[in-house]
Amino acid sequence: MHEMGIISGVIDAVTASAQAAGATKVDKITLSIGEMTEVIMDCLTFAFEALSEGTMCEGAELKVNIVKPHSICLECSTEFDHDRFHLACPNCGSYETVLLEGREMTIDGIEVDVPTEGDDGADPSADGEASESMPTSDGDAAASGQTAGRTAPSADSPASCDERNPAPSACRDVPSPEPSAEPTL
Amino acid sequence: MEIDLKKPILDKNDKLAAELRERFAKNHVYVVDLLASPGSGKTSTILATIEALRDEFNIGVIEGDIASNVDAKKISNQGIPAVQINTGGACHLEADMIKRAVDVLDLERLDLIIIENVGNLVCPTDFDLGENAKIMILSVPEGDDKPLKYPGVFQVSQAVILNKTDTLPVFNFDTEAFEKAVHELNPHAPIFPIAATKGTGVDDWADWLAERIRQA
Ligand SMILES: Nc1nc2c(ncn2[C@@H]2O[C@H](COP(=O)(O)OP(=O)(O)O)[C@@H](O)[C@H]2O)c(=O)[nH]1
Ligand SMILES: [Mg+2]
Repeated sequence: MHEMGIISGVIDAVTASAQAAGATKVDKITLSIGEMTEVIMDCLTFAFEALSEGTMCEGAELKVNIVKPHSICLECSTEFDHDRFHLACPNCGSYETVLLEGREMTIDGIEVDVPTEGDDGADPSADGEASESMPTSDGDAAASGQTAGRTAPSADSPASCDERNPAPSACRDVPSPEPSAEPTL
Repeated sequence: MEIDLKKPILDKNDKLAAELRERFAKNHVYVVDLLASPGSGKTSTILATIEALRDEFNIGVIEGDIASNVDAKKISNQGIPAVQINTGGACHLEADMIKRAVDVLDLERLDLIIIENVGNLVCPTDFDLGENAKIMILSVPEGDDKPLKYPGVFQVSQAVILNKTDTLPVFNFDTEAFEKAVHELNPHAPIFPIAATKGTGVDDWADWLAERIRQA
């Protein structure tokens, strides 16, 4: 369920970095997710497809590296891999272990399309793609950040994907506008 | 072009949680985040804990719910400050919601804040709220196999409360199997069998908590 919130965080962060690099489109996003977290991969993929629509992340490949749990035994110093349920040291049977890997939730990196302004000799096909095909995708999509957005006062603050493409409230698990905090004294 | 990010996905939440943790420490407030299914007895356990500790400590409660403020009303009826957070559909609390709630509470005066998270055994486990301890409540009618189905919540918890023990005679709950399963997932977490609405067993849990509050 919280995959929606996780993915909207990913899209926000990725969009910010991509825009800072002058990119118009994100081609690939690589995440590392530890097996000891409560993240369900199918839900991640679904959330990504739903929330990336109309953003510069739309159509990007989402690659998820699953990190297997790995612990160290504090009694005998053995390092070992394990699953979500069996945490005891396979060498001495101790439960005095510390998880070294397996709770990761990170954005490792992204691949983006940066349109060239003509002076750094980058791949011309990438250039053409960015300047010709992108703006034809209708209306308020990511491309508008490149053209109309340039003169808008908010252009330098990375717009969140949420604002561009608010998900239907029924499937959001991040609170829509402002959750209320009311004292009931 | 490749961009290396190596950025924690929950970066914003984790930073805010760290700030909250610092603020709690500065004010010597001990903060507990209660995780459990809906109906397992979170509110009842909070009420029982208040009864046991209110003479010694100043307590505040943050009630997380998808909607309504019935739980916060139950608490404030006891003369305990309670802040309701309505998550508007969210299945878990996040640090920014806690921050807004904490801003309403008088931190300087408080010794203990109990957070009732949204009833859910999955999502809340991944979110740091700046708490000192996550505590998991399982109730007897839910069954002794829950550690096998929801290992994550048992692993992140510093103690496990087994509630509704008064119903043990009518449910097929194998306490020994439950304790063994919890121990395998989290050998350090004590298990406190209680019946919140009857007050049974609450003292052991309250003593454990009181010891930690005094050190906060
Ligand atoms: N028999 C019994 N019922 C309980 C106990 N604790 C809570 N309940 C009942 O379980 C229901 C849900 O309790 P509540 O505290 O509202 O659960 P929450 O949804 O987790 O906050 C209520 O009807 C309570 O009276 C208990 O120890 N024994
Ligand atoms: Mg409740």
